[in-house]
Amino acid sequence: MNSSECDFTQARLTDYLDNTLEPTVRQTVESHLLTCARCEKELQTQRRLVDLLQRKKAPPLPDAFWQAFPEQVLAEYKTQRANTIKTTDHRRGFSFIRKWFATHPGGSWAAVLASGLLVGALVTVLLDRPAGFQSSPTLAWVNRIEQPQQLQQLVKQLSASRQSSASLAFARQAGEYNFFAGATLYVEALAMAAGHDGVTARQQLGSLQHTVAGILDSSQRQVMHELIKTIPDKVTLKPKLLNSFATLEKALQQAAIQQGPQQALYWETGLTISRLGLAAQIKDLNTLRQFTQLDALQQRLAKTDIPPGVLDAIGRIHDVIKRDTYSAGDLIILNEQVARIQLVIG
Amino acid sequence: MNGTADDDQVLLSRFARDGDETAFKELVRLHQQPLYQFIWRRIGHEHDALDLCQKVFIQVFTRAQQFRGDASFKTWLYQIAINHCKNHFRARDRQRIDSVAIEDLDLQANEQTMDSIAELEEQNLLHHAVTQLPDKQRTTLELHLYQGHTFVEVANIMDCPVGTAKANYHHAILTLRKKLGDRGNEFI
Repeated sequence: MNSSECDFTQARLTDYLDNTLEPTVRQTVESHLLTCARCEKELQTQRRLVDLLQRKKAPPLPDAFWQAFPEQVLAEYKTQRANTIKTTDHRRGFSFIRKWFATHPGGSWAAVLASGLLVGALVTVLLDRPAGFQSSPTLAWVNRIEQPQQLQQLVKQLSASRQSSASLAFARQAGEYNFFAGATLYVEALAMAAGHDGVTARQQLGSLQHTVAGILDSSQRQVMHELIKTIPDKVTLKPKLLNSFATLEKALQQAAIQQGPQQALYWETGLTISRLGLAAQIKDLNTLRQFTQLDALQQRLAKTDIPPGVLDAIGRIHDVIKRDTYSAGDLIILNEQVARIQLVIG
Repeated sequence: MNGTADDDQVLLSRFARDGDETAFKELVRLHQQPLYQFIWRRIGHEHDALDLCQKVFIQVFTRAQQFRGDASFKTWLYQIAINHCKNHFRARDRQRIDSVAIEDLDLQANEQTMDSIAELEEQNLLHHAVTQLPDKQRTTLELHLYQGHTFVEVANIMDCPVGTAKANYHHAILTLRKKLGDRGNEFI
């Protein structure tokens, strides 16, 4: 066979297979292939190579995973944006508290109110919802996934296949719609992660520690330390975890009570606002309707030295809460006023 | 929406302009699986591929307002994905101990050694050969052969002339063919 014809053909086999040859060149190549067994064999080898390469695909993930993935990306996008804003606010806030302590020795409304908010924040970090938070029957999991069991199964499948980050992310998403189910799933997923994926488990812990570093006083830090220690214990993880939240909350509450009724009232306010804010964020309307006593709280607070801005914000929240129906604008007002209170206190 | 270039740009601008979350999710839905496949082929690890896939989308939406439309959305998406993969490898290379060839392994019969051997035995030869390609050839192969990008699109993503993209693909196939060498026929 003519060597130059073979060279010409073999140099164009890739393009031939890729169907990108000019028609006249293609015809020349095809003519040669009809008469040259060596080039024809090389063509078949390359064709099979390409076929084999194209068959290489990632192991399939469940359809439910891909159905839920856009929502997960959106949630993560929002979280990252919120964290960017929170980081800035926290720095400003804690320096505000430090300044306030410097000029108001002996404890303050801000310290206790901040503690109440902190409990909500801590629980939010780990479970995304505070302990005792009511489930939301209004938003079935379901704008995205028809059956709650589907999401549960998905988390369990991902955990079982050792995809810790994904399982934890979806468990958090589950918690957005049903706190108790989500918390349970999260704890299970975390336990699985602790069992086989120390890196992810440690990342979760690291994130938690980073969030609370510098915020707690020494006694609170001790409680938090105990809480964190329970997390990698996959055998008794769930009861210890939930118990630790209760312990932390109780410790903070007792600290507030010991400082007097006014501090206890601030504690109660901080916790209430934190939970209300979370309910507004996830549009849990049934839970929001339970905050009907805000006017009474406002009146009790009016007898203390709490800044007028906080009282005004609570009044506005109360005006919204008592409405028969909530619009999207109402929820925005709630979020704004909660943020306003949190900004004032730190 | 069927995922045409025009659709992509409309969806992205709806999100960038109005914060339209439906558009956000639709864009992710249209591109999530091909992008995941692309990233998985480059890094070969499901968990990391999913994480990177999410990071790529988040960066896309974070920078949505910077998208000028000079190239297609898909071009932009895969440029970002390639950069994330490079960063992933850089980070991994900083952390890992240099890999060793099987003949360099200390063949004491401890559990770790046996795992290493088993892992090597299970490794897909062809995929391994692809990972050994020069980066430009490998990227071109993955974009064109696996993802179905045209050479014009590949050239845009890789910021090179179309002829260079074609040449990279051609060389990738020939390199694989040569690397498989004598065992190529048996393997294929």
